[in-house]
Amino acid sequence: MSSFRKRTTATQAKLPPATKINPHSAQLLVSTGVPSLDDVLGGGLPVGGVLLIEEDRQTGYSGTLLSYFASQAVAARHKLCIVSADQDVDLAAHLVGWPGVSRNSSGTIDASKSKVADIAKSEDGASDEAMKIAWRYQNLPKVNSDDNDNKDRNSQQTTEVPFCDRFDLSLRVPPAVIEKAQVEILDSDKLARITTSDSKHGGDMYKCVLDKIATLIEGGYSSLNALPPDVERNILRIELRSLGSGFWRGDGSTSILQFLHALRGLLRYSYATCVVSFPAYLYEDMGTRLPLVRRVEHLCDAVIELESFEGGYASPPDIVARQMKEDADAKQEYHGFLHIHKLPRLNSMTASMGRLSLLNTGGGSANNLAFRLRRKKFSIETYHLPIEGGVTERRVPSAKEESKPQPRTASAIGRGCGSTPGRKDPLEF
Amino acid sequence: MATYKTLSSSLNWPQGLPEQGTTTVICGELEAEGSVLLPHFISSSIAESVVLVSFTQTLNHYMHIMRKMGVNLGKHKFQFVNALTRVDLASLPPATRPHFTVEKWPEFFRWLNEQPDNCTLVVDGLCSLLDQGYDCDFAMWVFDSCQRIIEGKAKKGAARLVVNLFLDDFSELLVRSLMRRSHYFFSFESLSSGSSTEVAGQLTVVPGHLHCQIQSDNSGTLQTQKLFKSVLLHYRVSDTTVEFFSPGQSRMVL
Repeated sequence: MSSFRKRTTATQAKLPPATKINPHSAQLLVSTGVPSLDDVLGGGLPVGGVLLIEEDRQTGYSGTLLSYFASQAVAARHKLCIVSADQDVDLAAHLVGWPGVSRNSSGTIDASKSKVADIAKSEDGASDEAMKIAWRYQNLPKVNSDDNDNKDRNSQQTTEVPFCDRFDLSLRVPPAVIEKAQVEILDSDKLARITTSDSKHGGDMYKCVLDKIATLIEGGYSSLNALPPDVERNILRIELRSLGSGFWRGDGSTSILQFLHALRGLLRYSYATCVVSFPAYLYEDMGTRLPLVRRVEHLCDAVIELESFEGGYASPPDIVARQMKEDADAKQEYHGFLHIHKLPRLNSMTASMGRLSLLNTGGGSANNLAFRLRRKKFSIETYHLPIEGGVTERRVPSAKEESKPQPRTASAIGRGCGSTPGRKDPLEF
Repeated sequence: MATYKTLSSSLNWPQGLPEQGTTTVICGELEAEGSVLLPHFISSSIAESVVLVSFTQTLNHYMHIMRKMGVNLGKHKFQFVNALTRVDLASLPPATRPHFTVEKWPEFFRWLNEQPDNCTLVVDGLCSLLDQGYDCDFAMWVFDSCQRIIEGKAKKGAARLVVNLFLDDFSELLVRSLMRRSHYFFSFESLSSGSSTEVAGQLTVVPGHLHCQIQSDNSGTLQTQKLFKSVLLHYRVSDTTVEFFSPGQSRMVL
C-alpha cells in the first residue's frame, strides 16, 4: 500500500458546531438563520463581530430576524443570551421551529439524536458497499444523493450539525427542546434587579449588561483560555433587543457608544457573536437622524436596515385605508427594502460579499434588495418592479366581445402559430 | 511590496512616504473608510520600523491584510499597540500578542520614546477616544504628545506620524483641530456622483496647515523638486492593493 495518503479533515483542527471558515479572510462564520441574509453578509455572521439591525418604526420585521438568530442557536446547540430591557422574553413564542423538531412531536428526542441515527445508517450502508468500490476511494467522503437532507448533512460532515437549518415560521419549538437549550435570558425584571443591586456602576444598565456578557465569555467562550482536552469548543450568541430604547438607562447620551466599543473589544477575543436591534427612529430630529446613529453604525461590524413599505410614512388614516383595501397583503410581492450600510470586513480590506454572494455582486451601485415575509419563510430577494398590469390578470377578451361576430374568418387567423381557430383563449392550445 | 504606486506618483512621493517629521491625517466615512490607506504606509516604512496603535482592530486583522499584500509583519521591526481592550492578552501566542497594551497614556509615551528613531507611528481610530467617553481636549492631548515625541525622533532619524480617524458630526471638532496640526490631510469620501461598482469612492489630498513648514525647510532645493499640489483621485479597493486613478480613468472604462 502506498505511503501517500490524502489529507482528510480529521487531521485538521475541529471547528465548533455549525460554523464554517470564510476562505477569503480565514474568518470563522456562523449562520444568522436566514440563508439569504447569510449570503448578503458574505457567507454568514463573523464570530467576534457585531451585526446591527436598524428597526423599522411601525413593523416588527427586525424581531423576525432576531427569532431566526435565536432559533439557529437552539438548533445548532450554541449558547444563547437574550438581553431585552423593553419586554419579557417568551421563548416558546419567540423561537421558530424547523422540520427536525416537528417530526418528533413527543419532544422526547431532539434533532441531534435523529441526526446521529442518520449518520449511523449511512455508515452501515458504506460497509455493505465496501467490496464494490475501489480500495483507494474508501477513505473519501461518500456522496449520497438520496434526498436533500442527507446531501446537506454530507456536505457538513466535519461539523455534523448543518450550518443553517431550514426554519419554518409556521412551526414552533416543543417545550422539551427549549428546556434542553442553553439559554440565558436577561429580561426587564432581571435587569432591574441587577441594576438596583449593583453598586459598582451606579445603576448604569449598559455597564451591568457588559459585565454580565464578560462573565459569560469568561465561562468557556474566550479565545484566550484553552479548554480542557475533552470539552468541545462552542459558540456564544448574544441577542440585544432594542438597544438604546428608553428602557435602557445609561449614565449619559454616550453610554451606548462606550458600551459598543467595550463590547467590540470583548468579542474580538472570544468565540461569541452578537446581533443588536437598534431603534434608529428614536434618534431623529425633524426627520433627520442624530449624529449618534452614524457613530453607532461605525462601532458595529455590519449594519443593515429594514425599511418596510407600510411602516415608512404611514399615518393612522393610511393604515386603516390600507386594511380596508381588499386582499392588499396577498398581492404585495415584497414587504420592504433591505439597506446595507456596512458589511463585515474582519481580517480583510474588502467585504467578501462581492465574490461570494449570489444576490448582490458588491458595489453599492443599486439598492436592489427587498425582503418578503411569507407564511413560512422570511427571505431577501433581488427587487424588481412588478409586471405591468399585474401577473394575475390575463389579457383575455371578455365574453361580450367574443359573442360579437368576428370580422375575419377563422381560417384566416388559424394559419398563424399556436392558437387553434374557434377556441376561446388565444393562448390555449 | 504593496505600495500604491499611482498614489505615490500623483503625490510626488518617490518612496511612497511623506518627508520625515511630518504628520499625515487620514479621515474617512462609513462607506469609504480611510483605513484602506494604512497598509500603504505600513508596507512603505516596514524596512525601517513601524509602531501601529489600534483602537479598532486586533493584530490578527492587520496580519491577514498585510500577508495578502506580501508583507510578513512577524519578520520585520513591527510593534503593535493594543488600545482596543483592557482584557489581559498575555495568554495569546507570541505571534499574535500585542507588544504593548495601553492602560495609562504616560506609560505608553515613555514606551514610545524608547522605540527606534526611524520609526513610523501609525494610529488607527483616534476618534474612538471620544466613544470611550473622553472629550476632544483629551484626544488632542494624546495626539499632541505623540506628535512631540515623533518630532523629537525626527531630528535624529526618519520618524513620521500617520493618524486615521472617522469623520462625522461627533468628531468634526477633533478633525478640524487635527487638520491645523498636520502637514498632509487625506479625506476619503463616497462618490459625490453616486455609488458605482467599479469605484469605491474618492480621495482628496490637501496640504495641512503645517505644510508651509516643509516648503520653508526645503527652500534651497525647491527648484529641483516639484511643489506638492492638491489632488483628487478615485479609487477601487481589492484584496491585495488599492488602485487609485484620476476621475474617469478607471481601468474598466479605458
